[in-house]
Amino acid sequence: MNAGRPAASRLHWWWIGGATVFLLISIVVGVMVGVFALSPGDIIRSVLSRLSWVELSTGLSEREEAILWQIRMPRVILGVLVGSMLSSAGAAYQGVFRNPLADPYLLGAGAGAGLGATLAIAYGPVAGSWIIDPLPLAAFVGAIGGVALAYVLGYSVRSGRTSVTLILAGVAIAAFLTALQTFVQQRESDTLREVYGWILGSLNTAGWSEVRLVLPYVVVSLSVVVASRRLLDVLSVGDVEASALGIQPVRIRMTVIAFATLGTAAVVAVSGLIGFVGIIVPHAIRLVTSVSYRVIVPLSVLFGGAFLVLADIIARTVLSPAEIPIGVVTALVGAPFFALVLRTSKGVVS
Amino acid sequence: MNAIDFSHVSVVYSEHPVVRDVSFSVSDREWVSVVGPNGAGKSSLLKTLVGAVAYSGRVDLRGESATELRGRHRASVVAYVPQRSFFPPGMTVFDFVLLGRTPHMGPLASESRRDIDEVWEALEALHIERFASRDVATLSGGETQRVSLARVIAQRAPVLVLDEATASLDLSAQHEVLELIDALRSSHGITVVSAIHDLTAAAQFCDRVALLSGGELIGFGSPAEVLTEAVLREILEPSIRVIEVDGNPVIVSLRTQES
Repeated sequence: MNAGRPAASRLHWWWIGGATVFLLISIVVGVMVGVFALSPGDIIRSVLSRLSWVELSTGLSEREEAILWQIRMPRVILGVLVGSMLSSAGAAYQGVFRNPLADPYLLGAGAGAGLGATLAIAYGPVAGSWIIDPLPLAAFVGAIGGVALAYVLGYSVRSGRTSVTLILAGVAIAAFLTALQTFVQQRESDTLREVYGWILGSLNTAGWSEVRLVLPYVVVSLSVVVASRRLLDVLSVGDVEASALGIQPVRIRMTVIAFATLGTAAVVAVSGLIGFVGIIVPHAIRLVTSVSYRVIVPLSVLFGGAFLVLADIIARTVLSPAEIPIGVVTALVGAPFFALVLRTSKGVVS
Repeated sequence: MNAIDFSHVSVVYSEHPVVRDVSFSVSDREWVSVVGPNGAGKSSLLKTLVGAVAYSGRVDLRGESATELRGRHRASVVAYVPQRSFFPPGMTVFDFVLLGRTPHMGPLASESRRDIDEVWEALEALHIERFASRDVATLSGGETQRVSLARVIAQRAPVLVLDEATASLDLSAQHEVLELIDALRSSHGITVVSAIHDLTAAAQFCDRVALLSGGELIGFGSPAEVLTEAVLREILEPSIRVIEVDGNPVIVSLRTQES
């Protein structure tokens, strides 16, 4: 009866389709580019030959196969996981806090991970002397611990428990943990370079073990965040109205923050503090498509992954064989790109 | 069965009582206005209906205790329009009205064909179909109130709570919105409870008024019974005059002339 009329903001299939194709192209390009260039045809043949039911000779030498499967592929896949996670966690944080400046590090996940990593680098055992590597574990625990502290502080406020008190608690905790981290870093100045490198983020340690480590966290976290996308729209009218519409804002906020933080902590543990992705990817999508989280969250998963893979290509090729920290690339390339989107869009940000 | 029963309701904000032992009932399809000076406890009393404040005493919504009604079930019984709804910039009118369908959707579900149709019906009922794809943040005051009401219609709740919903509108827009509410009340069989500042408007549109002062119920009954010059002069302003125009009380405050 209402055919042809505009309806609800929906995730149109061409957006999802286009984003998926873009992600796949980024993956192929990410695997192709490097000191030894691989052709897309060889890559696709090699991927197909790994599928047991396809009999195909790959045309790649043993050395090229090793580069493709042991070096490039895990790094690109990890880039996808990290980018998807940080972007969609950023969108989720912006939704639950109704704040366009929110990012996944807002409540202290970044500062906590930074402190954990610094402690592990400064005082931890030499890498390899333990069964597990202490650095990612310390960063993971630090990230979760930072957010947990912010939550406890934010909700210990007797009156006026709002999302604003939680943000303020997060700001206080982040400042405190960053101060501790800086203190440790200055005391142990021989670790400065390593700490600094970690904080700026990198995918250069990536192997399949990192992928295996973060995959379960990312899958669970993304599932929860994507499933909550419509509830994020309801939260956008504020807590009183949202609860009058039948949802429980405090519970939803806590659940979304918990899962977004879990995934963020996992990816930060292996990639360091890659900044800016969690803000610009969801915002660019919001500016181009819709302010509805039903659209923003799923597209953040796809475009976030693609964006980080492309940023990583720049990070490892521009000064090859040296690497630029990927956090520098995401800001250096991301900021002008974002400015362009901002200038050419409808101009709705908040 | 009454739509709403307040029974010995008190609300206390950090040891400061704002509603004291208030009891009255609202019949099905009735429009009752809660009136009184600023700080009388009007908003707090209304918020007990949507679980937005803690209270003592008993509040029943269509025979069920308001504290036991939770989440989506409560939202399918009572809809709420605050004094200033927040209109998220960039959100379309359609999406905003669609939020009214929240209580009828599973927490993780998406909107169904039926939800979409309900939204269109609500937009048509308020004659704002042509706004469907407009950005809610670009609407005028009167238009935003229509959009809020459309959301309430889409919510399909039999009880409507309006907290000063027309306070920011100019006289003609206020009148138009109140007429719309009255029309919806008859066409959709809705019970309306509103907090309202404009006593003249309250007297014209409401079946009964509940007059609060300092958190206490001073009077409850028809506007002519409750809104008397003597009472209003005592609790509001000594210079108040109640004039009768076409059988309706018109409440004005006249400047005291210094001689």
